[in-house]
Amino acid sequence: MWNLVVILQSALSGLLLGGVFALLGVGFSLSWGVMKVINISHAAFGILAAYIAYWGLTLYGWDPMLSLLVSIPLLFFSGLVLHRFLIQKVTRAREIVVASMILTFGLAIVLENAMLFAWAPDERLITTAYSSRALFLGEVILKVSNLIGFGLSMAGIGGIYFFLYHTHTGKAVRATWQDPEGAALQGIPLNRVSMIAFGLAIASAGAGGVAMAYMYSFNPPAHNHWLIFLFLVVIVGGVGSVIGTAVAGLMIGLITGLSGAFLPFQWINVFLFGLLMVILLIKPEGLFRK
Amino acid sequence: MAKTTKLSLIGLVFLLALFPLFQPPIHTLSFLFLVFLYIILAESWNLIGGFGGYLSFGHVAFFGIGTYTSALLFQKLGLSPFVGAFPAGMMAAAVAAMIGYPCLRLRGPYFAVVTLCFAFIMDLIVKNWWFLGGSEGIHLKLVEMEIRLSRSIFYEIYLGLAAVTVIFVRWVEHSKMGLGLSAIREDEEVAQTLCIPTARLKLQAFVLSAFFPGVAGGLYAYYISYVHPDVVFDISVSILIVLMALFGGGTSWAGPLVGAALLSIINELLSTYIKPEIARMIYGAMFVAVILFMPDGIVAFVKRKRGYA
Amino acid sequence: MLKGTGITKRFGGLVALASVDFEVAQGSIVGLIGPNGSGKTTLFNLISGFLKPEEGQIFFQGEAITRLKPYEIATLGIARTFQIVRPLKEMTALENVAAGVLYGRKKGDIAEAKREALELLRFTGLDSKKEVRAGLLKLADRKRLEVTRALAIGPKLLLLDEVFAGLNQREIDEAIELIFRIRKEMGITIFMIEHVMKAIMRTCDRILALHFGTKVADGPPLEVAHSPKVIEAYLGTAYAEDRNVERLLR
Repeated sequence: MWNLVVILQSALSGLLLGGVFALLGVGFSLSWGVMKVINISHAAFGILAAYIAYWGLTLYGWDPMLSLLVSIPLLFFSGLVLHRFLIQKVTRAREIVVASMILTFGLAIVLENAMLFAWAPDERLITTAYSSRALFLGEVILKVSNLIGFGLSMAGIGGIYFFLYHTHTGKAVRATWQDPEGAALQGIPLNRVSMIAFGLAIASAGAGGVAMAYMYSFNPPAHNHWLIFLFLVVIVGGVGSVIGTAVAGLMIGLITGLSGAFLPFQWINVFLFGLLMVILLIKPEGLFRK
Repeated sequence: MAKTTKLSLIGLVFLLALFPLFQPPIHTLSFLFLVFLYIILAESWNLIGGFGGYLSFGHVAFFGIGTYTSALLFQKLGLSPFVGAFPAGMMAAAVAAMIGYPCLRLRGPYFAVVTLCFAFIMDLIVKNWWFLGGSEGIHLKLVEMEIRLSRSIFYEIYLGLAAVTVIFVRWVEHSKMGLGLSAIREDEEVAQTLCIPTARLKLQAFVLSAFFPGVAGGLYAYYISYVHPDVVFDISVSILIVLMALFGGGTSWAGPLVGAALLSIINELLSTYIKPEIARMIYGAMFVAVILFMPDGIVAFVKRKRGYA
Repeated sequence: MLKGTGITKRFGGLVALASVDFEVAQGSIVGLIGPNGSGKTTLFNLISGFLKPEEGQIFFQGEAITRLKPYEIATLGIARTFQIVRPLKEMTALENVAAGVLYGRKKGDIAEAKREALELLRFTGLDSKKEVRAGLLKLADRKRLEVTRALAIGPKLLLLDEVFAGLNQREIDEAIELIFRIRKEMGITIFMIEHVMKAIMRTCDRILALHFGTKVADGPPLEVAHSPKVIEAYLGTAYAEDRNVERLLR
């Protein structure tokens, strides 16, 4: 078990997985931080995009990356619509966090079961011509599909970072994040900015979903499993910190991979949840809170 | 509470108590049993969740702890679960006291997540610990009894327990503790300036909210006779409890009762007559609808419509 | 009655309060003034236990309260209001006050607590609104509620944080009357943060002035009003020399 190759292998595949956690986490964090909406359906949208990629591949032979051309705009638009017609009604409620959790929980159930109804609970796997190929670093094997998933995630995070720090709208989003009242006084249309941020978050969930699908099989209920990791990543990284969440994602991926090498399978989850509990009890603001 | 409401509720309980005498289908008895269980869980959850404003998403853990405690007491010491239910409740309360102390220092969503983690961890620990039967669960060898009789007995017991829980929660709502919890929920810092010992009060509410599920769990061990973590530590039950209480309305004793009853009935009707996935889609859509149009829960919505303040 | 020695409070690199000494004598009404950001509310937060100072001690009736929890400090007899009023929105005005009476005066009986709460609401003129949900009250009434609630716990010292803000002339006069009645009829000492000069000048026996976290004046109202340091703090150095400014401060 102390085989260096095994450790390195676990660490690296964990890191690659961590990249996907990072992307999914950043989108989740964006919605939580800016709009105070804990979007329980975040991962479910990821699964939807994964299905779009799957069917694109299976029925039309599209490369999964091409399917993003369909799913990203679709999900962005869905995010806009959802925010405008559902979320905005809720931000006036007495307790935004509670209300948003219940709302998006209902949404998640609807999505999950719609997908179940349409596509059955069978596990799906995205296998392209190049998925079985692998990169060899000495004795360590890195599957090409995992690398692509990682690359996609990094691109997604890069895109979000660029948006937030180098575009006009993105800066408005950050301003709203830090000080909603101040931002409003500056003339920033809060609703429109939140709408766009939410659309972006959902779209990034889609990219994350496809990235995840490159690495693991999925089916509609899988979003519940992903959701736990999302909470872990966002809380460790600190709600509202893009860098923090991204780094936390990589860390959690790494830890997950490594614990796979050292712990019996059943105890990995105990370890992860225990870790989350400990972090919450000691430093709930996250390790990277700015 | 208006005289008419009080009388009709007492009447309802009376009718429900007599119900088994009419030889209804066993399935109906089992269904109502489940409704009573959810009422117990949602009502006691409301002490910390609706009154206190601390949403525990791991409350099913206390139910599971109760089940396992009474099952083990029976298995190792031969203690009848009817007696063992009480220590089961105490055990759940003790665990609540231990984890409540650090966890209640967290606010809002963080408290929700940490309690969810707690439930997950309990589930996983029990599954992997040989002493507790591991993933095999615990089989209880119990007295042979005709199924209708046994179902009816448990029906009556749970009806009684549900009634007791509802009465207790209502009493708390109108007590000093209830006012203190409301203040904590509305604004914890302000509550502190009103001399309310917030940490102590929250812990008390949390412990109380764990006791009843513990007792219910203790009895449940006998009911199902095969105790398995997947059943008694089911996370979706945890989440359902929260939704039921908030659906009905967290700030009053009536909310969880209405929420548990309504959601159970709706769920049952939907899954009987429609394909399960569609049924669940409607279920999910209902949550969205309620949050949009009745964000403080059904009971508050109805009260407002009727013209109460 | 209330004494603070060498109070220093830092937020990261920012020094909010630097070695401030203060004293509030029993039975007096003391004012706390200073431009925004001078540390006034921070001082109140330190006294009421929501923050802990990096250095210094706070004493109440001889007892050190620096490390106590907020509810313990409240139980000892220090009540406070908040700058931005915080009514317990879903509860009625009566319930808001009754909660304070129940826990602050150690009552066990809710009915009795509600009776006393009603008395207090009469004292502050809110009894007609007792069944109104606190979130629905207008600002002046919310402020009254905030004060009534603070009185509910039976305090010996009352910390008022900008109660006069946003009130019109008539409401200011009524509020000044109320403050005098609180001191006279209930024997409560008052320490108040204020920007409304008219209110401060008319009510206070002594005024403390803060500027960037340090105390720049401490004395009777007229003396403080004439103090060059105070004028400098509010209006800048150019005005400190200008005698005409005195009139502005009346």
